[in-house]
Amino acid sequence: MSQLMREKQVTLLDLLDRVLDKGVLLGGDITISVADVDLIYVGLKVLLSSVETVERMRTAAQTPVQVEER
Amino acid sequence: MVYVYSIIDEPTIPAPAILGLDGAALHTLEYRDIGAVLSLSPTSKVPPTEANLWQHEAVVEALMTDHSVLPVRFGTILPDESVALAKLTALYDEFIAGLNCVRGHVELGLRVLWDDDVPQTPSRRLVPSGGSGRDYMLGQVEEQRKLDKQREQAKALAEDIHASLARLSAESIRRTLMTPRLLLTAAYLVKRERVEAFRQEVEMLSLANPGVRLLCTGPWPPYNFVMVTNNE
Repeated sequence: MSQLMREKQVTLLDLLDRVLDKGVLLGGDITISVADVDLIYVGLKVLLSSVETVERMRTAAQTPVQVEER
Repeated sequence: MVYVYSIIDEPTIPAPAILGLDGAALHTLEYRDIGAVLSLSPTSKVPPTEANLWQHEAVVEALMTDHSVLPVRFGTILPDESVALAKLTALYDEFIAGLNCVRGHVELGLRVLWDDDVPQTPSRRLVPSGGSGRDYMLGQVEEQRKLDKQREQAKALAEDIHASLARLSAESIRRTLMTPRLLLTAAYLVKRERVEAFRQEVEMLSLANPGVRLLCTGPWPPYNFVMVTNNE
């Protein structure tokens, strides 16, 4: 994989780790389904094996307070 | 319904040039000396597509150029403005503390990976056929010891790199060896005027550690340092 490609992937992964997993929680429904999360991470999991966030998101996605299960 | 992007350190701002999700116009909801930046949302569900995630990010980044911001988690949709106002009211003190903490700072991300071109682990030695069970066991023990040692060395390297960069930051968070390939995942809250110095330090560390790749991203809004994270 080229350096440029890698940097793009890492930037996207860093974005995901931030906007989906960090930031102010205001309550309300954050309607992100497990399927959505898997979809967006699928290509990147292979690259960095950063499965931890994915697992955390999946767990969060199963908590009905925060997220709607699809 | 309203989609919330960010808390900012001013009650009202001129309508930003940038548009929100689905091209919706942004506006500010004011409470005392702070504000929440919102757009109307026709739906209670925003799919986390790459485009939507980047749009959320672009809005917060645009706000960040002139304001202190506390970015809100992607996908936060409240029933209406009165609910949003109630949140601003209830969390006002925390927001003020958070805004004071991040004022004048940005977040930088860092990942440290083993370089692909450098062999990471010695290939698993196969026990020569005909070797005894004892030889096999000893081989396994030896192999494990080697892996443990590598793990320790990797962790020490990650901690060293982190320490050098933490010195240039107001706050930082880190995780080491989340996976065998990923030595370090870290975020740093850095004064704007120190971003260049931070990047130069990353360069220096890259040159000093040819076996690994340091990938620095940002500046980001301070997602990892918003303080207000639990409101359930």
